[in-house]
This record gives sequence, C-alpha cells and structure tokens, in this order.
Amino acid sequence: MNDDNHERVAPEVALDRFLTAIKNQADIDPAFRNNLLLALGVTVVFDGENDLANVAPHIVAAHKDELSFRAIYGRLPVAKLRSVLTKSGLATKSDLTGKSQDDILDMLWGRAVSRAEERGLRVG
Amino acid sequence: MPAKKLCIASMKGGVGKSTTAMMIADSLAYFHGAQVLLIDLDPQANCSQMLLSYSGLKQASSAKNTITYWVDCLARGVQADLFGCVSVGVCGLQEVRMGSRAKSGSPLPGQIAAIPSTPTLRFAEMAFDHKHFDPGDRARPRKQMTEFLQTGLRKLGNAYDYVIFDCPPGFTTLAQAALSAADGIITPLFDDPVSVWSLKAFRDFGLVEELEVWDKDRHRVIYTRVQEKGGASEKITLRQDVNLSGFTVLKSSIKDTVEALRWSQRSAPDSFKTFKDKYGPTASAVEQLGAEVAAFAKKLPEKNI
Repeated sequence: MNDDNHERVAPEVALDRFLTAIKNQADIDPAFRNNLLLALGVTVVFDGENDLANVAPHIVAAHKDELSFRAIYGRLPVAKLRSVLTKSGLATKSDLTGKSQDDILDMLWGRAVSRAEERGLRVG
Repeated sequence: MPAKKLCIASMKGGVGKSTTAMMIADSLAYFHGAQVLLIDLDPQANCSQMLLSYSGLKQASSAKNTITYWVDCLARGVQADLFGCVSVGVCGLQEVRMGSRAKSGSPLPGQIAAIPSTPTLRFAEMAFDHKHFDPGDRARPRKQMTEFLQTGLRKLGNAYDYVIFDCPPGFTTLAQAALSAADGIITPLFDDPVSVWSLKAFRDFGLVEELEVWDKDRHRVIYTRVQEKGGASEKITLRQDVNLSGFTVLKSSIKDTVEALRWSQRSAPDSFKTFKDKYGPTASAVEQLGAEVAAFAKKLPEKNI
C-alpha cells in the first residue's frame, strides 16, 4: 500500500481483476451477460437465448430480426410478457387490458422497434 | 369566445417549459373539460414527442401536420393553413380517452390537439427570417411572423378554449410572434441565482425593451423541479427577490421527481395512462396548476389582434 492508501498493482493484474469482475457478474446475471453479448455487435450463438427476454426489449429489437424477436418473447407466459412491457415503460396497464398473447407480442415488437429507432439503435 | 392564448416561455433552457406546457394542457383537458390546442414552437420537439409519442410524431411529420411545415411554406411564399397542421385527439390520458366527465362539471370531456414541431424547425425559421430580412428594421421578420400567426389563430375561431405555445428558450422569431400574440405568459423557474437572473433578463431585455409586451397582470412565474433539500435560506431570499422585483408567482409548484420525467413519455399513439399513473407524486400539484392557470386565464383581458 502506498501513502494514499491505494494498492499499487501491475497494469495486467489490474486489467485481469477488472475483467474477472465483469465475468463474475455475467455468470450470475443473465441480462447483463446478454447485454454484453449483444454489444459485441456480431452474431453470437449461445445457449439460453430465453434469457434475452430479461434484456430491455428495444435493445433486443435493435439486434434481432422480427422472427427471432418473436421467438424469444413468444416463449414467455402472458403474465411475464405483460410485465416486460410495463416494466420497460413500453405499455401501461390500460394498454394491455383485454389483449391476447398475440396482440401483446405484436405490441411489444412494434413499440420496441419504435423505441430502438427513437434512441438511434436502429434505422427506421 | 376566442381561445385564451398562453405562452410557456423563458430565456433559460431546461427549466421545464415543455413539461409544464403538457401538465397544463392535461390538467385543463381533464379537470376543466377544456379544448386545448398545444403548439410546439421548440425544435427540440420534446413536448410533441411526450404528447404524440415518437411514432406519432413521425406520422404527423409525414402528414405535414407540423409547425415546421407551416413555417417552411411561409418561407417559400406558399400559402399555408395553420388549421391544416393540427393533429387532433393527442391526449394520452385514459380518462379523457374514455370521455370521463370533467371534474369541473363541464358537460363535455376535454381534449387536446397539437401542432407539433420537428428538429428542422429552426432551419425553416431561418429561411423565413432571410426572406423577410430588412437591414433597416430588424423587427421585420417578427412583425411578419406575428401577422401570419394571428391570421392563423383567427381562423381557428372558437374551436379551442386555450391555445398553449411551448416556446423554445430565448427569442426565436416564432417565440417572439407567440409572445406578441399571447394573452398571458407563464415562465417556469428554478430557485437558483442563475435562473432568477435569467428571468429578469427575459422580462427586461426581451418582453419590455424589445417586444414591448410585458404587463405584470399578464405574466406569471411557476417554480419547477423544486428540490426540498439544501440551501433553504438562500432559496427563501431568492424567492423574496423574485416577488420584490415585480413578478407574480403561482402558488403551485412542481417538485423534482424522477418518475415524472421517466414516465411522462408516451410509448405509442395508442398508449394511454391514467392521470395518477402519469404524474405520480406530482398529480395533485398538476391538478392545482391547471386550476390556477384557468383562473389566471379567465381574468386576462382579451388582446386586440
């Protein structure tokens, strides 16, 4: 330890610790892991694509085509789908009243794409 | 009765003009059964997006229902109808959508219509300014714009109870025209020294000296994004200074809440939320604001345009 109470470590050790911390977090947090994978910007094939449902829908919409998007969210039970829409601010409870699973999936896709465009993650 | 025309305006940016404009429109429509036309004059188009949603604004833009299109036509010397740029039924409140009877006892539910703006508005304005530039009269673009705006507003007839202008910071040509045509002005304000200085500059250099439209009885100030913690004695002094320098402050104030900003945005044109859900902890303040603005507007003498 130096005078400032800061540990002095070699750059490679510091980098290793930093990457390990990210890896450890990715191991326990599927949404975080999938955000990292999506951020790579390349096609990544990995197990557990269901976990993508935990990522903000507009980020998934920015990286996946409609078919893949629908496959990911189509596996979710209706209650979870509703929760995804309301928690992400893409729909209100009023918007979801009386809607079937297909209606909700359509809404999720349409609004996620719109938000992705709005945030500059996808070209409209 | 012709509509009461209110400008939400200030010299300073980021004080909550667009949010205040939307709050007033929602409150007047829902609680007072008012027909409100909100005209967004700010190229940031925040109010337009909050009301219409991102995709709704895109649709309005495609249909040429924007103030940008109107100004662009004027700049090209093409006749443009302000009424034709109106998007109707843009209120995202569930109660208004369901036609709930206004709490004021008005027999009809209120509604909000809008003339939204787009980010290219300023460029259209610059083309207008260029067309009407007169080296001997720097006020000429403003005078021309005011005339066009007043003509457009006259054609709206009695269709609306209120026309609310959401102005950009400072004095763009459109903002000058709206301030010249408005019956009343409401200025959102932070209680910090820079904002208070800006308020005084807005009045003294802009409204009094340049536009010659300032009238104490037609101008109100509202504190927005109020933070309860920190600097209490300094804030009290600042607020006293505002009162002593001749401004009239509304009793309502809007607290700074993360929720209000996060959830005030609309996700799609067919998305609706209840007043309580939309405004959360600020709901009662927004209701009170609408009541105060309605009372303020009622007392405003009609401006001869």
